[in-house]
Amino acid sequence: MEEIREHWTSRPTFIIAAVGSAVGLGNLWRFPYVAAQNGGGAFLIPYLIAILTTGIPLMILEYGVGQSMQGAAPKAFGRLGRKFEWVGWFALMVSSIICIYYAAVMAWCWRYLWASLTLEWGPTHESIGQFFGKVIAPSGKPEDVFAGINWSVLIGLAITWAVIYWIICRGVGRVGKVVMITVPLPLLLIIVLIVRGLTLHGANVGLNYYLAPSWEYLLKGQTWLAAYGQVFFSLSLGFGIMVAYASYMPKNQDVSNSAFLTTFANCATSYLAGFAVFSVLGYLAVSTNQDIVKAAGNGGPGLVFVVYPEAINSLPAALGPYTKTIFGIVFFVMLLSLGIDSAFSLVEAVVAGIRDKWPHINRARITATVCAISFLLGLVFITNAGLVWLDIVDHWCNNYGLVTVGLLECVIVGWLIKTRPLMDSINESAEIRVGIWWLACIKFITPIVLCTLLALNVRKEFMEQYGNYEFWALLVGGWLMLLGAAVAAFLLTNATREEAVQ
Amino acid sequence: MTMGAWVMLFVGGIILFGGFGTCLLVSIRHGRKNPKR
Repeated sequence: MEEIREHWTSRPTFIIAAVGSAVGLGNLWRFPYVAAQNGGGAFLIPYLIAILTTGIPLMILEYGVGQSMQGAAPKAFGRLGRKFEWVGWFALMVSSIICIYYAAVMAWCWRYLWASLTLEWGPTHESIGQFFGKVIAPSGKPEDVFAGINWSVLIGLAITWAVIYWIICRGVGRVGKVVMITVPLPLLLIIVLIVRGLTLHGANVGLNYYLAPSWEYLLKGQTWLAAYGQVFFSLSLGFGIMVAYASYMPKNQDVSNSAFLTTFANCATSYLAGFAVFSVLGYLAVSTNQDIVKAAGNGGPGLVFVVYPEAINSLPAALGPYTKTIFGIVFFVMLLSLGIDSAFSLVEAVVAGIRDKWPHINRARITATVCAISFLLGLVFITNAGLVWLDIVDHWCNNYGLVTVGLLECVIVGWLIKTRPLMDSINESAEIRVGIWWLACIKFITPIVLCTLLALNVRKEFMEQYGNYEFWALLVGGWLMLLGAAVAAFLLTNATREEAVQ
Repeated sequence: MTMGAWVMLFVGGIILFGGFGTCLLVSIRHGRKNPKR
């Protein structure tokens, strides 16, 4: 007999949890840079079109499948067709890998939060670089993975996994309560950073770099691909998270407008984060007499662990002697609160998938096992070569793993099953009805875009060795890792079903 | 800041926050029309 599925306490809780999952570190360290480097303000036009033609349709698809099938990704896709269960497991395998290194990034944030109490990174550009090297990237060689662990970051990793376990182990009831804090808190802190940033001398230089439109970029294919890539990667699509979250929604609740709300909330947060980043970077550029392009760097971990500490160091002591410390704490608490809901949503997707298949196993036990295994595997990313492996694994998971899952989802729903029953199920209680526009996006636009992204990435892989890393490292951390995920997904698909045993 | 940057600042804000606000209004209006849900 099937167990009664638990549900979110209300629809706003579901939307807030989904927004929390979608809004993560990428909103802060990726979007503002992608926008600034692809036409500034002009980038907003392809970005909006990408939101409407890929982001929202794919979000509706994942919500619709999860809600109507009342199961996490493997069960939901398995119910669409027995042979599609593999896609769900593959999505969860990729999610698990992403979560393992995402927790390591959060461990770095804990370490930097601790460092911000005493401004441990030192006063100069060189000392900040040395601190980054010591804590995050002691070595650039993949083989140094066995050369030692950073023990101070290990504490952060253990805290991160303990927090994730505590949030997830009791189910979506506790998740619903936690997101009421972890979703508004970073937003509030971003606003604090914006207010401080905009009152700094030189903020306009940074904002001009972020927003001044260069219309000629609209004619470049690269700009459009960057917009579609940004929308796809920033919405937690292809992870199985949204399928799992929507599976906890009762069938009489709307999902289409929820997809619109989640997507717009995520993208508006990205846009807002750009002000927090570039106002401070403008100040840094002016106060250190650098060009804004050079001062801003290339985003990613370098922004939060090198450029921002430098900006914190250069802040005027407007609030007294502890201004820099306060600013540092605000910044790293914001990063942690941004990251934690994305991290536990990844684990929740995996736990929900396992529990659907083996419902007799206690939820807390599954969660503890997943967290413990992930913690142990995550040690790789806090070794001396941690950043190297994180970079490689992240590149392959995002550019191949997630894109493949997104593409397969579109092909299955658009071409391999009868779409009408799913559309009817979505429209049954929809506030915004899905119709031909949604079908056109799922059948044609999104698959074409994802195929193009996939093809261009593969082409680039053969043209140049990613990151100039050694071939064996790319083979192990990239292709073999993905192959392992695919094989594990196959084995899980064919694992004995509890119902069959009974 | 250039005039173009100011214009895009408002355009971006109106599109993204306006999009969110519109969907929120749709949801509220729908809820009022269908109080049982």
